[in-house]
Amino acid sequence: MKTELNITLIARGCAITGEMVVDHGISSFGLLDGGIISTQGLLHIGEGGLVKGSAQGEHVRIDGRVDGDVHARGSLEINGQVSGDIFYCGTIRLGPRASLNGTLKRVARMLTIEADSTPDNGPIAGPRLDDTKGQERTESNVTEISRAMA
Amino acid sequence: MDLRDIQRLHAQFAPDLMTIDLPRQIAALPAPADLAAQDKAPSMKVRLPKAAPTARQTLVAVAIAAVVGMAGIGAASLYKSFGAPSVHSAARSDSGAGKLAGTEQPSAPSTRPIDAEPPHPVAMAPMLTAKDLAPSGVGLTADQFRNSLGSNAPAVGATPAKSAPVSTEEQRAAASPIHQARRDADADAAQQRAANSPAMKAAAPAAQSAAQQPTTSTTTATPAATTQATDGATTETSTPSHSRSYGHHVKRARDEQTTDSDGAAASNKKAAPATRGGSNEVQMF
Repeated sequence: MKTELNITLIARGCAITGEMVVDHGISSFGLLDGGIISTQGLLHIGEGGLVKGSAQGEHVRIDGRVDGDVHARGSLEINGQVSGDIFYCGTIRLGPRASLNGTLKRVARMLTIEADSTPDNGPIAGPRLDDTKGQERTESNVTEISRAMA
Repeated sequence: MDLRDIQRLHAQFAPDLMTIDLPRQIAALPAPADLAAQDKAPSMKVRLPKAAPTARQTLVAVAIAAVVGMAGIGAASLYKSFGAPSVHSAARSDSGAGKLAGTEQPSAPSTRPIDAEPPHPVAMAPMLTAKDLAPSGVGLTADQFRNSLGSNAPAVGATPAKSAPVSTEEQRAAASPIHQARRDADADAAQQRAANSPAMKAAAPAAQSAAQQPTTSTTTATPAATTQATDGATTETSTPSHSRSYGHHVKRARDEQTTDSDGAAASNKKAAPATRGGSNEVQMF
């Protein structure tokens, strides 16, 4: 059994409206008006790419711009602009061009993606995150950095 | 960022691939295994035709052996069922070749019941006729009973009247066809013995004389006849008992009858009823 590398490429000049779910890696260089979920592989928002919604994936690399929350169950690399909260389970790497506007929280590793979860175990749930947004911002380094930058 | 870079990037985060590439694995196997695997098939193909004749021969041999064995088993079973007795008789005949009686003896018992000898006495056995039963029954008549009790007064008048028929009965019994038949049926030796015995010799003339003179002095003739008859009866009962026992009961019953008649004739004699088996019962009264 040989598993071929399967990826989805949203090229530049492509605009997609709506939620998008893939079970493999995806690279988006276009415009995606909605959330995107990649269950397996790398969720790559390429340079020049824009996601207006939440982005969830196993491995997340953001070189473009995300206006929404970012959930990474594995590694997270940000070398772009994120306007939203960031939840990661494994490692996080910030590049020189990383711009974070939101909270950054490391959560327990989640093997599955839960649509509705408790605040402790379910950082995926968006509405709940808004309630604790104020408290976490005070403790978050990202906010401090943003304040320092401001 | 071209496609190669994108692929390289995704390849870094791609899940660990578990690849089972059978063609590569097989190709990676050492050469001798492949050669052996390739050589085995042709060798088998080559060997099969060579081994076919030998297999056929062995199969035929085994089949023949099986058939012979089955035949042997069948023959043994047949020999057991049928052959064994014949062999036994054959062995007998071999052992005693001159003795034909040895072979005939086993077959004789089957025909023995049908043999003429046993039916002969049975057919010649004394058969009861009306003569035997009509004048004096098997049991005691009322007169005989009275006589046996010893009442002399009523029997005095009747004694001479009865003595004559009794003597005639005895004579009849002595000369009856039953006796004749029995004599004919019995071995001649018995008849000769009876004839040779002095009692019978004396009884026969006495009986003849009594038959010829039934009215004359029965008182004197009857005791002699009774004694003679009893003697003859005893001799008859004693002699056939040695030769044959089957006619003993019949003869004995007849003797008892004769003794009864004697008792009726000679009422004064107590010895004759005393000797009788049935007289004991009468004496009990």
